[in-house]
Amino acid sequence: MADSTAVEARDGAVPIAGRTPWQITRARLTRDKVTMVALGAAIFFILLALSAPLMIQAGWIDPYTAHSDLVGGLGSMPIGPAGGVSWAHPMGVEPGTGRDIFSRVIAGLTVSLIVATSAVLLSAVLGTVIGIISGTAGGRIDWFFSRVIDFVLSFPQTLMLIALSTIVIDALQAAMNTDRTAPSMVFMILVMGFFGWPYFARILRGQVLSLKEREFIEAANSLGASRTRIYFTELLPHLWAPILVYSTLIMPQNIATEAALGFLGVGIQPPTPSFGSILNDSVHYATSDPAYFMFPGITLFLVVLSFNLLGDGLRDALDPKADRQ
Amino acid sequence: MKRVKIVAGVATTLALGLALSACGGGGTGTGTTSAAPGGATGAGGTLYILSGTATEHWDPQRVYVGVNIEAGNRLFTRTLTTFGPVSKDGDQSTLVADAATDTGTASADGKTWKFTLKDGLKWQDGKPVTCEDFKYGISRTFAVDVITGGPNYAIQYLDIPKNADGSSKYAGPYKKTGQDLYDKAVMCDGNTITFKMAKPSGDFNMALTMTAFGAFREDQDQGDKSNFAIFSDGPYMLDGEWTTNKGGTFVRNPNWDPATDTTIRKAYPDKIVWDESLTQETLYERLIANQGDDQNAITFDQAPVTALANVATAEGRYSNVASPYTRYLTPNFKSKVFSNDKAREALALSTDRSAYVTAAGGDQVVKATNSLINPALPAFPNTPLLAGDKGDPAKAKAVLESAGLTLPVKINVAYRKNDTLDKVFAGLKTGWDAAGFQTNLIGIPAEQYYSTLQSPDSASKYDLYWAGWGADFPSASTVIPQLLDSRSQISAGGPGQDYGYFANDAFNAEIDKTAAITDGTAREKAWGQLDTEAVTKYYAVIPLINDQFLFVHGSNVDGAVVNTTFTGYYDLATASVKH
Repeated sequence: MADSTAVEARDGAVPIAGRTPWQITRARLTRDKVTMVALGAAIFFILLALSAPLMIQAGWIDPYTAHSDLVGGLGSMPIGPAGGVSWAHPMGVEPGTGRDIFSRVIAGLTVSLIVATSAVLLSAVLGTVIGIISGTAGGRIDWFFSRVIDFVLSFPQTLMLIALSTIVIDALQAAMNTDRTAPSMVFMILVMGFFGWPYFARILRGQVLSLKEREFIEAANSLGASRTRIYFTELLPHLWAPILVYSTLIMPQNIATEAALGFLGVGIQPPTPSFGSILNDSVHYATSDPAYFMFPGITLFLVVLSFNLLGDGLRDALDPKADRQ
Repeated sequence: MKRVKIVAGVATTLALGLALSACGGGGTGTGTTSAAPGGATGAGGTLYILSGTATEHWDPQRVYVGVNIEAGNRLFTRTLTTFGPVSKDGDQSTLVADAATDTGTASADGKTWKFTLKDGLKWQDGKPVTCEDFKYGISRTFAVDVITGGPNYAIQYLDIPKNADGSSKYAGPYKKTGQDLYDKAVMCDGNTITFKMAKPSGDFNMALTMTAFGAFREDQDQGDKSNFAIFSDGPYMLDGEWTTNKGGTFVRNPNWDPATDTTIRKAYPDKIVWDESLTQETLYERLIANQGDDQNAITFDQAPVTALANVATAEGRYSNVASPYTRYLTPNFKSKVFSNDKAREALALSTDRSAYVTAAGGDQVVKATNSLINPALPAFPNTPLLAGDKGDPAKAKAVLESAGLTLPVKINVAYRKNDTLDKVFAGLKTGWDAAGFQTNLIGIPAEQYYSTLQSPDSASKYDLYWAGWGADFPSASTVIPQLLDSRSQISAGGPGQDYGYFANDAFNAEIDKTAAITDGTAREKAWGQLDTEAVTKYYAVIPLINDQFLFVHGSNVDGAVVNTTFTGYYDLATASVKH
């Protein structure tokens, strides 16, 4: 019999080459223009956020220096059109202090993205571990973790954040012995990470439950593979897809939560800028200096939008049932 | 006074505006019903009061907030004396008789004061206001467990012995412990009321302008439940109930006799609607827009920073006057950093007040100062700024280096969190950090702010506090001892109003010496000197700015004049609406 893997070329037909799942995903992604743009934007924002501290050190952006000559009149409003826009201050200046809004938005982006990304990582790790254990163990352990998930999901996250903030941040500050910025960020990462893991755990548990019945798991089990090997070598490669997708979908939610906290006065303390505190202040000037709200608001919108679109696009690209060849 | 406490004595009379005061000025009431002055064309209409701040108390002995002192006195709580209305924003007003026949007679040694009540004073149910009603009202201040929130001048001034822990031996009219002691200090003889002072007190008749010295009917007293159960002896009474965060309506009190109130309350509007369901920003938008009923509206709320840019469009309808408030910093004498004299000096030298002024909205909103005492008071010493408007970080750094502390010196600074102060302190931080400090800003929410400062554990957490104070009445004896006399303020329960635990025996001795000076002018001057000493010699406080008030009123409102001597708000005594 002829070798079944060899395909004879006949009448100029092209041999079909096998493709790995990642190659299929990449092909789908590159075809989807909207998602590619979103990916580019997300990478751009992440790079911007990461380089902000360096830019501040180098003096390229300056979120802290007040320019009292750039504001004036009753209310210390920005001098110049659109909230004091100029070449030196492309997004205008802040009423009352004259601080550069462009610099503050970038610095705020750093804080927002660090907090959001770390919280997502924490949620993903915790959620994956618990989801896998719960899915594979079954029985009483599964029942227990499912109830824990239900319990945590029904907790009002924002209320807890507000109620616990002062006490926990004070304690963290005493332990870390720094100013309040780092403890505030740690607090938000811990709380958002803690309230985010059930979301992952549920989804991954579902995936694991369906994978568990597959033949390759049965085969691995019967060959005597250890638990660890099953988790990491057999199951995990099939779980990357949902982990990745839901991470990118939770990112914008975390960014928005951090902004909401800043808006409510909890969270990062001044003079460190954060999206929430900037938007909080700008809302009061809605009628007298709308540019002060528009610039940070649009920036936040674009950041959240790009992560949302990226997540959607990834989900479509990774979906094995989509046959868009 | 604390952040919102204003100069005492609020007479609530609604008078017609300047334009109409010429004609029919104040009716010659015959003591019958309907208090509308006959013939005055301004009588009538409904005045609206828009408020973004919930009223905490209307109970006269519990009122300590300027707005409620002004409204309470002018509408329904008459006092023995008060400060009369003025005709122009910012004019000085004089102490006049209100429920009494004159501003009182003091004995030669200043330890006894006598007042005679006017005839014809009536409560809203027609019963006469008696000397016993005043005596009872003042005694309620001593029930410190029930009647909370009000000023404690009665406890301080009257000659009633104190317990070892500083509390009065008289426990108020509910418990009646020590009632005989009170009866000896406040005596009624027909219409004459006599007060015995613990110390010679030349300005007692000014303290009487606070509603805490108003009359109260014993049979109407429900203790804590009387908080919003207004029972009036003034031109207006409450119609129905008062609802927190919504407000209430005031209608004419048919038993108020305008003949007993010729110099103060004009009482022109027929009705006053108080709406406290709004926010500062919304109500200012409405006042500036000036539509419909808002044309008949006034407010006691300050223009928020964010409305300032639009205020200019309300031509001829806004008042910009000095307020009685000073904002300042108190270093914590118990902290390691600020128990060091040179560290406090360095802080004072590097404080950038111009950043405060800009962040707050310009010098029409706040003005830099270096005195705790407000410029409106005769005692104002006008202490010159140590290092100019902007401070001198270089000079401060040199002083700090000589202090023997390792730079950068970490300091925890507490302030009341809001957007404006966030910006203010960002600016102050820049100046301090340039002088070698490492400033850590901690914004504390408004509801917990002063209680946090007054809690004993805060002494170990913070190095510097922001605070505000305004004189309760135009004597600096309501400023210096209230903030800097460790003996009356500091106790096991906390620092009182001496948030920084400043305790200096020499300074306290000088306070006593000053309080004993009988000549009013000389006494006020001496208070001013103590103020300068506290700021420049001990660095016990760092005064920052004086608030300026900015108010807008509707176009139909007349006679809304800001009375800077008496609380600093629109005086309801003279306000009216065109109709």
